[in-house]
Amino acid sequence: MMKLLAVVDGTIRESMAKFTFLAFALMSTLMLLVVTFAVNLDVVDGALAAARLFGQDIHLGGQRIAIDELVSGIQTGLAGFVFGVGLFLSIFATANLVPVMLEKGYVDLLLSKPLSRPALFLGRYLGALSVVGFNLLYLVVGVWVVLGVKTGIWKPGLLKAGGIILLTYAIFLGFMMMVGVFTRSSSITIMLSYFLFPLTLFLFFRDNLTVMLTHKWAIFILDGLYWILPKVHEIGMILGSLALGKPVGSLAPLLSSALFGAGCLALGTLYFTRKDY
Amino acid sequence: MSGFAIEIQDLHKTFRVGWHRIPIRALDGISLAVSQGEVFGLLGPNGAGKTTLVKVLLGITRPQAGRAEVLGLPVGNVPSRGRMGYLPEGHRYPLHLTGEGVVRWFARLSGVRGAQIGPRARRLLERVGLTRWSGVRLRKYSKGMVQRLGLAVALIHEPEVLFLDEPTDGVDPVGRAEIRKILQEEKQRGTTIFINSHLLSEIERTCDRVAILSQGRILRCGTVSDLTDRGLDYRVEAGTVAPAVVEAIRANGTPVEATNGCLHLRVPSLERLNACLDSLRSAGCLIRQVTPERSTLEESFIQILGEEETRP
Repeated sequence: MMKLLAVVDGTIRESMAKFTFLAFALMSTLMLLVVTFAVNLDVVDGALAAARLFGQDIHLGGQRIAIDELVSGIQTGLAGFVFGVGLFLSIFATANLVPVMLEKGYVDLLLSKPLSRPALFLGRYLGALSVVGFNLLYLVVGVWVVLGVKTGIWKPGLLKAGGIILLTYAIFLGFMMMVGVFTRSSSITIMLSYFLFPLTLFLFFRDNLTVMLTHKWAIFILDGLYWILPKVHEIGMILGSLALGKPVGSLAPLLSSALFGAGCLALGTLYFTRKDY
Repeated sequence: MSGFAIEIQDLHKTFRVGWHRIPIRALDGISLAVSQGEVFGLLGPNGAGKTTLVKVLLGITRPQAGRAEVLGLPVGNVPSRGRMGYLPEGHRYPLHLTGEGVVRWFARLSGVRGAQIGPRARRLLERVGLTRWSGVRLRKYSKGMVQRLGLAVALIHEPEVLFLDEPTDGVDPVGRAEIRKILQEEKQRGTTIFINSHLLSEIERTCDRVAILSQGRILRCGTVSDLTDRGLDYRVEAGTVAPAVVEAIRANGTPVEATNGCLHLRVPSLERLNACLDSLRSAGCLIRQVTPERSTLEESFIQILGEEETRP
């Protein structure tokens, strides 16, 4: 266990030394500072009476804006932003995790230690997940607390959305670990991971395409890919519902995506365990 | 208990490379035994299979056939790796860490207990001459310094068997002497040391026994003197020797060459050597020294490899 923790710790330190995570942390801090000091909300009788951004009045158009709706809106906007930009940055920052570990002269040293290969691989996975988790926790919990203190509204939507974002990253990380161990290339890992986003969006709208297809096998392949690959679009919709405090229709897309991530991680671990270095 | 720290029997390993999966035989039936506390050197040209053999012994690469044990346990046994230290060739460490950070991190990976890590790391960094640099990030280190750090990493958990792949690569002469001293200290502690090196002079000075590996096979194994011994060749220092005396020795069937007051004799037996010496003495020559002639390890290495290449 101590050795596994050492791998996790080593991975965290390695990631924190990267400029991308520093930029991520700076952006989070900036966002927190803006929400804390630049946004001023005057709440009267549960509604927003006045709002100022950087000291400038925001024209509300005479409308009565319920403060809990405003908080939900801010939380959803932030969740959507982190889901897109945060995931993009996290994938970019951690794509070289496995290729770096597999570099000649480093992998030999790691594999000569009294630590099983699955533990080493899993330690690397948990390390990356922890770094992204810390960053996410810092931003999401920070904004949630500041908004709560400023408005008195403590809606858990943003926290739930944070959990979904971390889970989505965990799914992609499993995929990146697999691609990394097969190809030993950071650039291919990044390219394939980013390619998953438009591909899964395309598959979400596959019904529009299948009406034009005549071959049954083509429809079968599209359907198969849809069910195998992560469902980023649907996860985004679940995230939105959770952030707004609305009921979530079905968690099946989330579960099947998690299964994809776990399958990729298992396949990567198996390959790493059997490979000669 | 066999008393061997490393035991290898008929080990085979073939790699398949490229799209066409072309087989490359890296180890071709290697058998070897290294005693506990011995310093063993493995020599061979590039691609001979030296690194593959070490990787098999550490469980990094798996053999296709044969048996290998380290410290009485089959290779690949995960807990037994805690009793082995390894300095790979061209090793890389996380550049964002300091020298001490690297040693500490690998100590944790090796299972060293928390309270022991700090004192051990500092002691080892002092031994390898890096105390002044312990707080500096690795990206500032020279190649020789990284090599010394690698030795500290390999020793941090006080291993019983130490595998060193080109340990003095990139190290200056002073550093090499220091590394030799550390290896001697480890030998006195009872550590078994297995060294792969191209630097034959280093091997000659450090190792108790040596094996020469080529194309995955062991061509010769023995002590350095076994490998460098040229049989009954002697160098006799006898001042000025009259050509007639030299001719008389030659006439007796002993090949002899005279150069700068020295005679180089090749005799079939010690009796013939003494007969030659008697001839010299009776001719009034003053014999100052008689020494058996030896090749350097490098000469023997080249000769053994040459013999292997010319073998049908």
